[in-house]
Amino acid sequence: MTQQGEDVVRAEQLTKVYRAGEVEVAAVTSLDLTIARGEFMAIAGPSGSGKTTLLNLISGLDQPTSGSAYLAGVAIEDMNGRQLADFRRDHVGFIFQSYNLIPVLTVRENVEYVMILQRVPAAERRRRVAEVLSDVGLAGMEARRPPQLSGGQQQRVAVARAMVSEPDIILADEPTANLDSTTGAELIDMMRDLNRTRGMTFIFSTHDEMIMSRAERLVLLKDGRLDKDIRRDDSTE
Amino acid sequence: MSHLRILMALVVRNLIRNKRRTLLASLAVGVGLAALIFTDGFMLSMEETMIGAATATFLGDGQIHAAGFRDTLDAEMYMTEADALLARLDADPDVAASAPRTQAFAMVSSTAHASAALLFGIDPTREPGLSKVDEAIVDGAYLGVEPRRILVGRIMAEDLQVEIGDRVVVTLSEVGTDELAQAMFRVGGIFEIGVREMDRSVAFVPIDRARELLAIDAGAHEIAIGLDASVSSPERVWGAYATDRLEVLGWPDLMPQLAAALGMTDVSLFFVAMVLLGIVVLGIVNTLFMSLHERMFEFGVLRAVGTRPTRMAVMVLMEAGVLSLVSMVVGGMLAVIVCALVNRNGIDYGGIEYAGVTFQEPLRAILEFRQFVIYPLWVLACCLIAGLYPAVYAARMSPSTAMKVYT
Ligand SMILES: Nc1ncnc2c1ncn2[C@@H]1O[C@H](COP(=O)(O)OP(=O)(O)OP(=O)(O)O)[C@@H](O)[C@H]1O
Ligand SMILES: [Mg+2]
Repeated sequence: MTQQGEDVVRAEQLTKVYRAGEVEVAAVTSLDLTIARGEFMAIAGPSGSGKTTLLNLISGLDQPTSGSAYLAGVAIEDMNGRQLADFRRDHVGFIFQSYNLIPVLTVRENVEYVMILQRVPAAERRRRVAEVLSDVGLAGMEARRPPQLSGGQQQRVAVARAMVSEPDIILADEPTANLDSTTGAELIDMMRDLNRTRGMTFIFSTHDEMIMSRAERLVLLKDGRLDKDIRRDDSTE
Repeated sequence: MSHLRILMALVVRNLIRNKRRTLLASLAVGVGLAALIFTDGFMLSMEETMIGAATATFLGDGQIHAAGFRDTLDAEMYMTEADALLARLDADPDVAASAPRTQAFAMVSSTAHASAALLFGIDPTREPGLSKVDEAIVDGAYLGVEPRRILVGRIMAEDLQVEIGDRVVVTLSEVGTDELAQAMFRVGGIFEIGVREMDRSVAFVPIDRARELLAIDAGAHEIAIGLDASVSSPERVWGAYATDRLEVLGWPDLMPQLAAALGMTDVSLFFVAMVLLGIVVLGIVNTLFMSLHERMFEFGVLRAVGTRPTRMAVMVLMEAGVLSLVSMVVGGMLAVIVCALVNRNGIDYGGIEYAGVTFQEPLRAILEFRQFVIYPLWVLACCLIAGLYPAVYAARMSPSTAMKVYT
């Protein structure tokens, strides 16, 4: 079910060049890409093809060398560090490969952190934490610390944290890379469910064929350029 | 505020999680703080001991002279109103003791040798309340009712080759006429004050006999004053006795070399403080960077999910602050323990002479409330200043770079 929405991400001639001493590495080169609200999209490609760099550029974690990235209509390259921080807080959810959670904070504190930044009242925070934890199948685990959870459970908490403040987009850089294939597939299926039921936009990168196959749109990168952009109509049910 | 609270929770829990590092860091800073407090206490005791030794040995807390006497030491400049002054001093609640003295250059000769001397006439009954001449007697006895007794210093006794009971002749010039007066004395006592200058060239005779020899009736050249311990502003007491004819000086003016030496202790305390606080700063910067590098990815995550750069800086400063609070407690306790241990026996400087003063008793570190307020505040300030660099570093760090560590 592809929602017919406005573009939530628009990249135009997006380019990122890293300088390591004398050597210049073009991590992403002249990339054009639009992502509509409600998409469930995978970015794949060999190691070093620019997946992480692309995700960082469209989420405002990094600034492009040239070209533009718009997220929810706002140009990322025009913002300073503080504006970017506020922007990510309000518009982007993040899931990383591992070490997503702050180990000394409880599950509840990890999940409510963004809402604390947003000054959401405590009662409301409590309600929403319980709600998203039950969405990801971890109801009642509020008081645990991340080290007391399995890898799969930790990633689910990360999903809960990413979605709790209902961002425009959730970006996940290889969220399943540190999980076994069954747990990884379960995580992606759960994200897919949330995408359908809540209309949340998910973009994730992966190496794994089986994970890729679960996406409704697959963008393949090669040497920092867009190689293929495949939409799978059969995912519309 | 809620955000600051969760940042504080993060800081505190991370410090607890790294117990050993936190403890080592606060121990290092605490040792610096304890060393500062101890040094201050030790210097304080040194100052008090030196001032005490200087004033209690002979000087008094202050002295009255005829204006100008101290510049020339001219025996003609004596105070005629000595008795009236002593009566006023006796009635003054701020004054614990006072004693009149005459002062004149004299020649003391034995059958073997002669010595130049500064001859003091002292009041045998009033003087012990003020100075330690009586306690410094190492042979023979202090002055009594017998008028023809003289006390000489140990070195002078050696120079003159005299013993108790031996005769010496004192020659001095009479005030006004400048005629030479001579008198015979018997050595009644030999004193050792510990200050070379005094033991070599000072002699004491009863003041009445000195007045006769100098022909100054009931005059005196100096009145030494010991203040009550409760007096906080000696200047006010001096002011009550000063007139255009009378000059009243406190010990800093009477012993400028001691005042200068004490000024130096402040300077050395300052340098000690700089070095110790420098170590504190380095220790804190190092610990903060260790903690920052170890949690680089975590910092990246916090930034990624929307923590503002300034908040990251605030968090690092909080860590510096909490570390310094722990260090203050550790350092304060260390200071108390070290001082208690040292003070059980004291540090023995016995007999060492410095700036015209001889240390008699072992030195102890004096602890004051002030030391436990000012120095911890300095440490806190230094920790926060030390935290600025890592704080700015944390704020400037790009989240994507921070998260490169593991990926
Ligand atoms: N900070 C950096 N400095 C220099 N070069 C960099 C930097 N970050 C990435 N690169 C280079 O940019 C290119 C793209 O890197 P990127 O991390 O985006 O790849 P990726 O597709 O995410 O790879 P992987 O699948 O291994 O995670 C690589 O050649 C990489 O070496
Ligand atoms: Mg990557």
